[in-house]
Amino acid sequence: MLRPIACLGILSVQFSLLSYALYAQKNETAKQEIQITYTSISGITKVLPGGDRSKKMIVLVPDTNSKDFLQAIRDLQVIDYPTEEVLGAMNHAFDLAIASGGYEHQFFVGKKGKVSIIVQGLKDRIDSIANRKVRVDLDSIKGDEPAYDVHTHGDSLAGDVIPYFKPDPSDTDRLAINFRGRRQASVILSFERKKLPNLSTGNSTSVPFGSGSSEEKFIYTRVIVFYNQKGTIFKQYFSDFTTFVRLHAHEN
Amino acid sequence: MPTKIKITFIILSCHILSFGLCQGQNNLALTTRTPISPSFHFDSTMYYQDSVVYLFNTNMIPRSDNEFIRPLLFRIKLPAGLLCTYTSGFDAFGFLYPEKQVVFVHLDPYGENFHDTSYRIMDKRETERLLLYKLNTLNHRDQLDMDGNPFDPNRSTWLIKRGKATILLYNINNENASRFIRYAMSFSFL
Repeated sequence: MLRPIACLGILSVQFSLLSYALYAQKNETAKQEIQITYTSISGITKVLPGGDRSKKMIVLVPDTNSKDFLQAIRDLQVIDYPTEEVLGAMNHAFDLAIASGGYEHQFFVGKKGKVSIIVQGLKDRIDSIANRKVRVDLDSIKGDEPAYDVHTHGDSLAGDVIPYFKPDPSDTDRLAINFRGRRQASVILSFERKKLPNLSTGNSTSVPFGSGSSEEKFIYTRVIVFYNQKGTIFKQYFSDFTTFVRLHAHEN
Repeated sequence: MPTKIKITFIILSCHILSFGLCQGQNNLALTTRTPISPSFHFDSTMYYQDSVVYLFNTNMIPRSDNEFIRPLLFRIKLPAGLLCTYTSGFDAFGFLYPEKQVVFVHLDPYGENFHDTSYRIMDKRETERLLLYKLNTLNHRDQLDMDGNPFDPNRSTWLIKRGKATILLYNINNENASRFIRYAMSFSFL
C-alpha cells in the first residue's frame, strides 16, 4: 500500500523539479532578452544584457570599445535616451530661463520616461520648495521616480552683465545627496561664452610689436552639460545634441 | 504747479517706456555683444618678432549657482605667424596657424593626480577623443572645424600635459615641430 503512495510522491517531486527547471529556463531566457543598447557620443552602438527592461541609453564616452566604456556605466556617465518629449521640455526650460532673466528652472525625467512639470527656482539655485514640487509631480501625479534631473544655469546674459555664468556644476550641484539612488548623470542647460576670433594677418612682420588689442566680442550659445559628483563629464552645444539624438533615435 | 507735476510725470513715463523698449530689444537682439564695462578683460596677446605670448589673464570670475569659480589662468609662448585665436568658455583655447596647423589648450578644473608628460601622437583615435570629447565646443563649424582638417600622420601631432592643462599641437609641419614643442613647453599657470 505504501509503494503506490511513494511512487506518487516521487512523481510529484519530479514534476515540481521539472516545472521549476522550465520556469527557471523561461526566466533565464526572458532575462537574456532584456538588453540595453548604449550609444556613445560619437554614435557607436553596443548592446549589453541586463537591466530591468530593454531600453536605449547614451553613454557619455566617445568610444564603446575602450576600457572607459564599462567604467563610464559604473560612474553614472549614462542617461536614458531622451525622447522628443524630453527634448521639448529642455527647449522649454531654456526659454523659461531666458524669459525670467536667469531664474533657474528644473524638471525630472523618470525611470519610466515620464517628464515632470518645469518649476522655477531662485536666481542662483533650485530651492527646496521648487525641488519638492517636481518630485511630487513625478512621484505622486505621474507615478514615476527620478532617473535624472535637468536644471538651468543663467540666461543668455542680456547686456553681458556680471557675474558671468559658468555652465558647469557648482559644488552644491555635485553634493552626494543629489545623486542618492541615482544611476544616471544629471544635466545642466546653460550657455557657453565664446570669444569671437581675433584675426591677425598671420605675417608677423606686419603685425605691430607690443600688446595686441583684442576687441572683445562674445557669443552665447546654448549648451547641455552632463555631470556627476566628480564634475562635468561632457559638454555639447544643445543644437548638436538634439541633432545627434534624432539621428540615432531609431537605431537599435 | 500741477502742470509741472504733469510734465514731470510725462517725462518719467517716457523714460520708463524707453527703458522697457531697450530691455525688450536686448531680449530680441542677436547673441553677439560686447562687455558693458571696459574694466573687464578676457585675455591678452603680445606679438614679438619671433614669437607670440598669449596670456589668459581675465579678471572676470564666473559664477555657477551662487558660487564664484576662479578660472585657471595661464601663459603660453607660441611661434610667430598666429592667424587667429579662439576660445570657448573658460577652459578651451585654440590658435590657428597657416596651413591648418593648430595649437589647442584644454584646462580641466575638476581633474586630479595629473602627471606632466609629452609625446608624439601616431594614432588619430587619440586626437579624435580629445577633439570630440573635451574640445567639441571649439572644434565646431563656427570655430576651429576639424572636419576640414583631419589628422595627418605625415605631419607632427604632439600632446603635452602640464598639470591641469593639456596642450595639443595638431598637424604641425615637421620643420616647425621642434619650435612649437619648445615654445609650448614654456606653458605655465599664472
